Amino acid sequence: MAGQCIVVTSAKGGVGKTTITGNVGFALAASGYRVLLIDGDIGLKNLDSVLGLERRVVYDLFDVVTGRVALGDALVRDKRLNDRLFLLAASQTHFKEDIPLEKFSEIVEEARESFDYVLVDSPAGIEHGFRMSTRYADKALVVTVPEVPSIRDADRVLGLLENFKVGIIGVVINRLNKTLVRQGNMLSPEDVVDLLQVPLAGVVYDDPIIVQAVNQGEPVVYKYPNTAVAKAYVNIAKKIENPDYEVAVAAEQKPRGFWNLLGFLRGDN
Amino acid sequence: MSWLDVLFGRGTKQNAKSRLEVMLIHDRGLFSEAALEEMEKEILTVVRKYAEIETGAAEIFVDKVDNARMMLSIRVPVRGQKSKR
Ligand SMILES: Nc1ncnc2c1ncn2[C@@H]1O[C@H](COP(=O)(O)OP(=O)(O)O)[C@@H](O)[C@H]1O
Ligand SMILES: [Mg+2]
Repeated sequence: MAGQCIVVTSAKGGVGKTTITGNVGFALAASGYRVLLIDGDIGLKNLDSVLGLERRVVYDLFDVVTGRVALGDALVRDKRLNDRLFLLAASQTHFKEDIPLEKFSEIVEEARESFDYVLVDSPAGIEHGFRMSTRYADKALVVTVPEVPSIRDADRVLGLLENFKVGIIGVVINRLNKTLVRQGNMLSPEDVVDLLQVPLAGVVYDDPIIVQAVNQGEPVVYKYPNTAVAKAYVNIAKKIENPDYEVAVAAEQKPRGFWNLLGFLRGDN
Repeated sequence: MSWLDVLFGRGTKQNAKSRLEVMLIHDRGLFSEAALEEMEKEILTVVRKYAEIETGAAEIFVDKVDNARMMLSIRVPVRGQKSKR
């Protein structure tokens, strides 16, 4: 059976697409699937360093597109998992426009034959690179942070994906700050879902552990599997496996009780 | 925002939500993707009369420059001028 191609996308940069692609891909592979990660951010490339694979990259997407190497020979294998997680790196020396859309589609088609999941990390923006990364995907994860400009861009992206006939797994809300939500100073996952009218595919808290993991070149799900963020990535993987999986959200809490009030007065939050 | 606002759950998020509700309604009605696709098809029919174009590589998109203006951008990779017979 041919594998599924899933794009991780957002029009806005810096919202967490690359971190999510790396960690969710790792989680899927750890649970037994064969997974290929494609770095679609041509000209920048980040996915290799999130996984700590940067020193093992020899060939990239451009080499495959130009026929310099076969797809199978361009992939970097993640040694932490036995032959289940592979990366096709982006090239830094080319522009997004150097990859013709049809060529990219051929690569995705070929990859489907040998992998259960092909995850594409999309670049920011809604131009060529976005089109390349999303157009041939079966389904999309749309990433947003709970802030006005990002949610607005996510809505725009959802419209474009609909036009490309890409299915929507749902929205991943990244960098949620529990305290701010509790204070009523940040949109809650319920609010975001309400605004965007798509299923919730995941909620990842804002956590400095992510920076620490990237510093070490290790996915959070591998290095710090017991943290809340690692579990959030694993839950996104579950949502990919099974669209009926209900993503649990920490309920929106109103401060109540004397001790909470005391906390606020002291400025604990 | 005072601690009283906190106590009664009146944060800035309500502000964000109602602003977004208005923005999204406006954005969604801006240019339907179906209309854009139709326009792209018609433009390409004209361009094809004069130039050899790469199939499937053309792009058309609308971006907001600011609240009042929008920018329609079209990228059509061409192989060259169409040979005249
Ligand atoms: N949940 C999170 N908590 C804290 N930092 C995060 C979180 N998610 C991402 N980051 C950080 O935000 C930055 C941008 O993330 P990245 O995945 O590169 O975004 P994108 O690919 O969308 O541009 C990185 O420095 C990353 O470490
Ligand atoms: Mg990125």
